[in-house]
Amino acid sequence: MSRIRLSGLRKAYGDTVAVAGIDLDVADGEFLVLLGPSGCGKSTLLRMVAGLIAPTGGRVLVDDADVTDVAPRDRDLAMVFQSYALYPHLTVESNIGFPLRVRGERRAVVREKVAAVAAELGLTDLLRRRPKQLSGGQRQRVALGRALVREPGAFLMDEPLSNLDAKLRTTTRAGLTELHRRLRATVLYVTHDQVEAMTMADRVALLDGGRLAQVGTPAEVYDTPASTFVAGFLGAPPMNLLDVAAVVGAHGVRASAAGLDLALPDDGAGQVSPEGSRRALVLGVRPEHLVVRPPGAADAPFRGRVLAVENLGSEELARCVLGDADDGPVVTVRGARPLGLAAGDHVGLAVDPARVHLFDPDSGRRLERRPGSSTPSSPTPSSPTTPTSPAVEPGLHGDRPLARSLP
Amino acid sequence: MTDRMRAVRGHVVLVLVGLACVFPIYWMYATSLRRPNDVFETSLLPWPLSLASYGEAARELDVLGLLANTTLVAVAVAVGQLLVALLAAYAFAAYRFRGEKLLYLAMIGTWLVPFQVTMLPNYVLLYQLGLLNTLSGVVLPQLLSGVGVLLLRSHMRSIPAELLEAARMDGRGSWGTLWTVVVPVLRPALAALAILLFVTAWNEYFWPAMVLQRSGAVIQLGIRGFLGTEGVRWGPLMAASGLACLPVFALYLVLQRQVVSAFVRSGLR
Ligand SMILES: Nc1ncnc2c1ncn2[C@@H]1O[C@H](COP(=O)(O)OP(=O)(O)O)[C@@H](O)[C@H]1O
Ligand SMILES: [Mg+2]
Repeated sequence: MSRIRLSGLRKAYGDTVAVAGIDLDVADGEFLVLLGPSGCGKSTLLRMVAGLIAPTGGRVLVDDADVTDVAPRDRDLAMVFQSYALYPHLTVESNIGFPLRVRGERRAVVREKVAAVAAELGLTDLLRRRPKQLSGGQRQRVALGRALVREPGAFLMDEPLSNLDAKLRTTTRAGLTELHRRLRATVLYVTHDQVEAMTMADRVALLDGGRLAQVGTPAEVYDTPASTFVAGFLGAPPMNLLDVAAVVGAHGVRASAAGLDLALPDDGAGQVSPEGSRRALVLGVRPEHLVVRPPGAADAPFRGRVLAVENLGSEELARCVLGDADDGPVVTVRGARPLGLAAGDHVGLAVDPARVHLFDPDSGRRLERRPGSSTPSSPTPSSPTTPTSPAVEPGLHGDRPLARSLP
Repeated sequence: MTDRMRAVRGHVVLVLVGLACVFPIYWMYATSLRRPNDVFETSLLPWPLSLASYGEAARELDVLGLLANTTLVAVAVAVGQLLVALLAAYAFAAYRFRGEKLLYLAMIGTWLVPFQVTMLPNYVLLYQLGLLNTLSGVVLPQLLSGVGVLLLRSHMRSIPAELLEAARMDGRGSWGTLWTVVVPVLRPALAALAILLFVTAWNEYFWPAMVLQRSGAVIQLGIRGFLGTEGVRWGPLMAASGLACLPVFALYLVLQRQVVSAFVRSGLR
């Protein structure tokens, strides 16, 4: 299996920049998922790796060989397309065998390899059919078989599950993961579905407007999002992001907004900066980390009113507006059903300070806490840093220590 | 109930139009099967039947030879046009290149320019090339069909890009992709176009008449012989015409399914 490296890969269509300079290393045998909203350049990036689109700039390396100007057929990469792109005039057997016949392999060899792949994917009984006579799931497996039969250096997949129904998607996901384990295959997998990314990936690369927003294991990108974009993309519903003012008081730093007065973990900031200095911050809390408390409870820094409660079966979501006004900031709470809330209820919300994320309001970047401070479970920065993620200094907060940055 | 009424009314209209289309053809065969003295009869059924007109046509014309020549010309024109259109449409659909639009418009333009405008220059050119009175002289100037290019390009554009990309990933070059993916996928459209081109070439009258001059090369010119100055000889004229139509009908019967499906599908697009 191969290793794929991208350096400064770029693609512009006139004034539209689809991919804006990407450096990425897909290790041998790694399942790397390119995740991002529709239109963020995932397909363009994948097609440049495949060789179907010529990049505007940058290089593509496969196993240390520069293949930027090499034809797709000579890159030893197989692709699975979103539409499956099966040859409609050929039987399943001929579809799977197509790449082998192009290579001029002997008929008997082709038949043997196709039979082996078909058996592996449970397609043996369908070999005589044409794509039109197959269900969506079967077509998807034929497309996979056509890639597998080549025994390529790496697999490129562009949203291969997005045309399947929810149930089939779940089983196929598990099947793909299993296949990856068994083959130790290098996979570059594109999707807009975060569940696919979280469940299948060794590492996730989040793409935002043609740039890498963060690269890391599913746990890293979920637990320590590098930016408000990542925080707001991952999770269903995503992280609550609130504009707050951080005020240095006598007893440390407090974040405040309408209906919110939260002590930020004491970093000794109070000693550094003069009392009363302020700074704008974005505060992030995942819905599942908010705990419902009685209204007015002393340990509930959030205070608000329930707007609506949604039943998800095993869990419930409550949307709450903070403060007294109707147009205050809204947070979502997620917890086991029943939450014990109804629309109109007044409610208090508590959060473990270790679960609070802070971001710079201008750049959107994560502000990192000093390791070993009063928050023992404080997250460590995700190891594979990206061009856009801030270089984390051993300090109070990310690029600028919070307290010292206060005016 | 009203739906049913509407359907019935629609079918009545269709039947009437169908009859109007079929009637002249029926009348041609009916006339050709009457006895020589009955050709001006107007009874719907030709009775008693007689093959005399066919005998007369066969005596005066080498019907088989003419049919063979006509077939040769029509097949050469249709196949040539199909090949040229296929390659041109593929280039226009799959590649972006300098002057593409201009070239495309020029090709479509040949379809808009009336035959009368090009006939004399072509005739002079053939004369200079020494191709007058030859079948290749009939075929050569007709090799480009603007409609063919137009039709095939739009069909090719409707092939999903991912299908062609899949072929590229699987190792096919553009030439291989054309023959192993594009042509098989477009088979119904190609069949329909082939028939269209063949029938058009088959029915071509004026251009062969100009190039061949002598009335003995293709059947359409042979038939002209029955339109004499002393009157039209309807019996053998209809008999020869009826024979001239048979190959086209046969072709249609063989490829009917493809033709209908292609026309239906291109109509939905
Ligand atoms: N051929 C093209 N011409 C112009 N713009 C394009 C072309 N292909 C893609 N784009 C633009 O590039 C961006 C990224 O597209 P794409 O890679 O398909 O996104 P994704 O796969 O993440 O949904 C989009 O804004 C899209 O409009
Ligand atoms: Mg895409």
